[in-house]
Amino acid sequence: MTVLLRDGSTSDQTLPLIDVDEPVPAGPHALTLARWQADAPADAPAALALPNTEDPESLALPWKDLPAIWLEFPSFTDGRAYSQARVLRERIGFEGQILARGDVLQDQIFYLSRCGFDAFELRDDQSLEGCRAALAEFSTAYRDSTAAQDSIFRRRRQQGAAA
Amino acid sequence: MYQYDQYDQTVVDERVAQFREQTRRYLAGELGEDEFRPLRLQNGLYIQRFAPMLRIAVPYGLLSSQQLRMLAHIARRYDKGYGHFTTRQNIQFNWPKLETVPDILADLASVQMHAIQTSGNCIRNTTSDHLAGVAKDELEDPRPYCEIIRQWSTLHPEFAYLPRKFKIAVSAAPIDRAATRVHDIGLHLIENDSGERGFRVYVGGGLGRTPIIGPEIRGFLPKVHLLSYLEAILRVYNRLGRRDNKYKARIKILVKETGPERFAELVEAEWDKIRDGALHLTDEELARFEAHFTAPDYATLNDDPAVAERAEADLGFANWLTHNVADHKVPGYRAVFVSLKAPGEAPGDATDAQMDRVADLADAHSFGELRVTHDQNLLLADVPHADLPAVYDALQEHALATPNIGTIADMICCPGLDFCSLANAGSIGVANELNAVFDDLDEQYDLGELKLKMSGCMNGCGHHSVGHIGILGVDKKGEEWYQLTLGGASTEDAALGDRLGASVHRKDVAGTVRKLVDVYVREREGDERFLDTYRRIGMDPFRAEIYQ
Repeated sequence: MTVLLRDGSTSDQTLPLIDVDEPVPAGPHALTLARWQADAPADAPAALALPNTEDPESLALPWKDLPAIWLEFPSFTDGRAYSQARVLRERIGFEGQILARGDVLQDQIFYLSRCGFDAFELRDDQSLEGCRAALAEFSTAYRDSTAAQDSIFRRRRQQGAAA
Repeated sequence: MYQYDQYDQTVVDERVAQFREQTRRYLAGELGEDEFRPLRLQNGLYIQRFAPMLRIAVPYGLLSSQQLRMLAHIARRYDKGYGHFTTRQNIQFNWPKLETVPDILADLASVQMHAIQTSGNCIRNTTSDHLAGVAKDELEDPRPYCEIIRQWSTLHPEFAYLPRKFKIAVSAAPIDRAATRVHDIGLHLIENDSGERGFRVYVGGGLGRTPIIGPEIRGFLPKVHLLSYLEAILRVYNRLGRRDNKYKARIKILVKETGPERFAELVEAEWDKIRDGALHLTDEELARFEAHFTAPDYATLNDDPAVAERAEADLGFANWLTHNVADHKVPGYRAVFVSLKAPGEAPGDATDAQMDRVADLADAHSFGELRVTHDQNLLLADVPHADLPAVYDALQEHALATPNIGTIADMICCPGLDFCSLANAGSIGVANELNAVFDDLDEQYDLGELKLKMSGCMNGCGHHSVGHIGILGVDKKGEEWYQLTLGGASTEDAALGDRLGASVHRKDVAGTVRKLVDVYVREREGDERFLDTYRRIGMDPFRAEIYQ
């Protein structure tokens, strides 16, 4: 699986995702939330996959120890994970990687990146070049992104103050 | 009116470029039908019965003459010479070709317009009172807040894939002319006991299959918190709204199933965490938006006695003056309705020539601006009283002065079977038959305010659920039948209509409405409207007349 990163580079996704009743391998791996809750392992996994029905704030998880959270898009038209990502970044202060997986397509990448996703596990048929270009599809936006306080409202305020 | 700055223009221009590339990929087979669908919808483009339909946003119904001329140009160049104004103050074109849509959007961007989020499961165009800024009864102009909402909601990355569409309406007057209680969010600009201004917030109203009058979830919200509170509502909806069944996916179902009180608690809990964050508006910011909607340069004018003289001598003009001209808060001015309900024409339709003419009239007599009304008419909001005869003559020449505003002939009607792939019924044809039955102007006037609203299917684009008389097309074994309701209202006394009884065949619709109106005329007391009489005497006398 090709993973596009926010800086335009790519990596291969090789971590196995381990659900309940599956053997846990020795090497780095990702756990589903259900597996995590069942085992309560002492060491954090390399990544934790949250179903898009979960409210991250209601979960007691060692966020600081988790290198990555995987958020799910069962269909690209199911937008629940956009809200999860913003809550992770803006309220929980999660600083690890947030990876979008499932039905992840070129035409949603810009919005995903504004909401705090910084890794995109692309559906097999996606054009890498197109997806990379989509990261910079718009040069400005009316609201801050999770990564930068760059909203149009804010820019106008600053101009007003400077004038 | 609001003028784009460099940022607004950049957003719209980059959106055109984005959709041009998406359309190219679709036509080249690089982008699948399912993947393209939400993209085109969020640029206003439906695939309809005969051709694509393009819905263009008219933010809170306000247009400049230059923008209206561009719409006329689009009607001429890309369509069949007309457009259809909608109940949400937008305009639709029914015959554009898919491959020309990026060019249409580029033309729109050149006059600070767009089709962003006019369809799809996202936040749609924010609507408001068509008399905003000129109504005698309004607290203050609601449009600065509509524009703030427009900007916040435009290309909102978190809320582009909601469970279902989402509509917001804002009103600032005790008389609700924006049907706010049948919107996903209705905002009423009010003053609290300590003289501070803010919003009363209603959530979960709507029409369609499950019509609901939206309950209040907050009695007073200070202006500076407008966006954070909206964001809290939307986030609760995005997280918890149903996605398992498209007919239960609107926020009204979530509010109903959760209960308004519990829903309000969820919103408040979310809002508490974001209320003082980046979306907190500043007073300077509010002032900046308000400065875009300052009053035009009104002259000191008196009413012109020549207008009354003309009315004495000219019954047509007198009728128009009574029905199509509204009061204005500034002495010597009036607001003039441009009727798009000429007999025999589809309600809300205007030709390119009519649009051009109205643009000319706006320039000559109304500071170069006009509005689209929720009842599918146009409005010249700032006409000097002395200019009324000239405006009347010009409108008359273009069949835009039918003196029927607010009467039974001023029907709201969806495009129906003639255009829409969802419809069960040819609402426009039925509208014509009704027009023929009620073609007598004296009778129309005698009947007074009578809101007749008709939809070709359950989706309710013609707002039948809130018509004083509502008419809904249903399909019975391939035949057109119509379900009638009585007693609906979309104003401050909002109510859903009650079912009259078994549906009636297409050929009997006009006759049935005739009988209903006869019952009203027989039973009314004093100057009661149809709605008042219905509320007083109830359904039985009407039912007896139809089904005896």
